[in-house]
Amino acid sequence: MLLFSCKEEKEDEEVKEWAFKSKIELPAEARPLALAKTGDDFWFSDPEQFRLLKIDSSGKVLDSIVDIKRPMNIDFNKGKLYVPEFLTDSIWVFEDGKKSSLSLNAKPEAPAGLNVKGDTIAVADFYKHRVILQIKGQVTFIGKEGHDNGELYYPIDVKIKGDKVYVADAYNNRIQVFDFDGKALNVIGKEDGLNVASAIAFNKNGFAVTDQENSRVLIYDLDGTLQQTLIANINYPTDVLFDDNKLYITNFKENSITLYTPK
Amino acid sequence: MTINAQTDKSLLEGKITIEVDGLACPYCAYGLEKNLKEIDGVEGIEIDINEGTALLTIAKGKQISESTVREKIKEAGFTPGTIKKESDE
Repeated sequence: MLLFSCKEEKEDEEVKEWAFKSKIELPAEARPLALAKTGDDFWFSDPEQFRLLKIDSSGKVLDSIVDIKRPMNIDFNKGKLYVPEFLTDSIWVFEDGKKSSLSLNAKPEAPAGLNVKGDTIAVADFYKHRVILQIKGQVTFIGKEGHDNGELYYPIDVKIKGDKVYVADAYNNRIQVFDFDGKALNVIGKEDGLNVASAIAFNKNGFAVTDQENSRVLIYDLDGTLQQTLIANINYPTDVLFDDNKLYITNFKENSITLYTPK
Repeated sequence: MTINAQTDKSLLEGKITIEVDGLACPYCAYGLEKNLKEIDGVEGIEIDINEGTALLTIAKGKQISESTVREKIKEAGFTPGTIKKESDE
């Protein structure tokens, strides 16, 4: 529940504190890597089983997509489920039971994650150490292999926020922020002990980052200042998702999704 | 040195298990899988993230060199450990 609800800007300024609520249990063999919300339900990628499963909020399996060669950090936008297939360098689009190939004017090598906002597509191109940003069919490459500011080292996830691109610069242990021309604007998380930054999710107040190897989720405000560190009941987090005042965290080393709610 | 396919111990066939450090991260593990699949003669790969091993099945009648396997592992950013030949059954 919001403490301040009379003005939108108050909601934006509010610093939320999150508390562990529960775990959603998944089928025993499932190892959830990434989550996407689709209406009242979720899809999660289960690369160990070469599949995606659709579940309700209690974890009950509703549907599946199989024979995907390591589905990674998925996205859902306007009725379409976007699935990067790591081993085949493909990105698939699932809509109304039909599968098609995403029209991308650059070839990724091991696509790890993506974000689609209208006609803007951003792809974390893991082995090429860059982000492919495609706007109305026009491609810009963001970053190149390296460890300096503006360079990337095995990017795993990417999110478009306004006119900025946030990249989970996984093995540089940081989040990097770029503009649409690829200009590096900011580095976040380097001083916070991140050890493999693998996913980013935004809410009104800021964003969450998975600190994969430390089994933590870090909560930042929109300026990139650390607000809270979540550790309870998190086991090797590989994705985060905000939805309806809830925070969902995938536990890749077990068959569960952890749910946090505002304290 | 001339390599004799009949006797050279660096040529691998059948099933082999490779120990690889740092396989816990799924992105890295699947990256290794991707690299090893590129080796001509590799028919199947099973990556065990928990055990930190890769089990390679080499196609019948094919042999691959140990150095090629080690090189591919290094290309994926890992240090190869022990390579063990499994029994054929």
